[in-house]
Amino acid sequence: MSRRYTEPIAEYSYYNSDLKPLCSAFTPVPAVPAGTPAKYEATGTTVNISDLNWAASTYFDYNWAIIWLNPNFIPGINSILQNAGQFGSQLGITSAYRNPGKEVLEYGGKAWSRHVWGDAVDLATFRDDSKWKALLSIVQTSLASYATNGGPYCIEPEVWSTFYPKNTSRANPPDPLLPTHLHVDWEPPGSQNNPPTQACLSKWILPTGQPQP
Amino acid sequence: MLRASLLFFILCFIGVSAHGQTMAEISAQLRSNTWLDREKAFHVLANRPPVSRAEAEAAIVTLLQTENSPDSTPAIDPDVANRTDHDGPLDYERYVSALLNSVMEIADREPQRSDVWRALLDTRGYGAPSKLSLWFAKHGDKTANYFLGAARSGAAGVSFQETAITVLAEMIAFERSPATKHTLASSDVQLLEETIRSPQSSSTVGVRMEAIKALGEFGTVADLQMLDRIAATDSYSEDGIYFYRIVARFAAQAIRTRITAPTTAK
Repeated sequence: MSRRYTEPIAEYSYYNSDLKPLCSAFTPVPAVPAGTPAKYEATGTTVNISDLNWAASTYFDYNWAIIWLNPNFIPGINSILQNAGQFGSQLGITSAYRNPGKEVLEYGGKAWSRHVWGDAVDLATFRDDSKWKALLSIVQTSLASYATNGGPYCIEPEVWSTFYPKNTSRANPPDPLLPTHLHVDWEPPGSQNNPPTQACLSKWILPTGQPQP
Repeated sequence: MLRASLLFFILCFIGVSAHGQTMAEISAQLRSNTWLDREKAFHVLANRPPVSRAEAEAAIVTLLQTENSPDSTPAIDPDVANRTDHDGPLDYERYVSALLNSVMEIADREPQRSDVWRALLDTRGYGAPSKLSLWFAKHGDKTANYFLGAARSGAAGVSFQETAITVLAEMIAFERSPATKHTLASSDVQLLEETIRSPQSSSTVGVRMEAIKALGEFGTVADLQMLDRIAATDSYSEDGIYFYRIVARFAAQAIRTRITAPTTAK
């Protein structure tokens, strides 16, 4: 791969992302080494910024990440950490910022993930349905008052974050499901969907404690 | 100008879309095993159909039924699907989301149609509260029986039983709100409440958790004593995490917030 496409800003154009960031959108922060299963945050504290750059892969890694572009992102994670003591003494982050190249080359999708926008985080649920549900309650409660103050969020349905044992497939899923993580992002309403009336896809979990569509 | 109008009329008459596709070509795309072909057909049908609106909408509803089939979901590399940071087939789900919204709009316009309800209720893989689950909750006259059955039996799988419990809770909250147009009789709403309270003793962890959480959606002061007891003393735990205590604490908090909030009811 030529160097031109290994520049993080150029990747956004090359992979046809819906975000076209300026240099000022990036923060210098070391990438979490590829293959790291999770970075653990002590609950009741604030998030360690160096645990949010997941732009390292087998292809390249960047020591730059989009972290502060969405002003709701860091306060949202911190709000969860303040409430997550009941989940255990630590909360695992399995992904946050990802560069478009990583998103497209490693996942085979398009570069419109909120991870590419730098306002999504995946929280470890250890292939355990009960832990996913307990963490969902913690996240919803943590963000309920926060959401009414201008920080809307979306949560990926559990079925999307699910571990499939061998010999099963998404077309023939096992029951019960085994979720590896809970994805929450702070996509602003109207930024992605068409028609742009709300942020979350029809199947995604909406904020609680707010007027609903 | 006259010539252009005449050409447009002729193309419409023989069933050609504004994109130059005939209905025969679109029908072939609708039957394709490749979801990208089906997505193209959907966008033509939704925006510039070469047939009447009624025919286009019937095809869109049938397309949702196609996407509801497990065989329609795109295959994903198992190594990718099992990663701890994989977020599902976003591009496919964006298409399905647009398709769902179209069928929901058709159902809102023509609620007497039976095909739209079957297609929508057969949809799987949604969370709650979501746009889809809240929409179901607002149409209790058409959906309550379906979710009652799913919540009671679990025949459609444990995951869907849990979702059904949550949708019923949203339905009760909607029906109880003084600000909404109700679709169910009060006796029906009472039946929904009984159905949610009964799995409190379920041996399936997820089902009981959803039932406890659902109480937070519509429960009253009378439920607080039980929820507070679960939150303080329930003994079930895995890896030191007391699941029922967590959800009971938040359910009780939701009820207390609701009963102390200033009401807008007249």
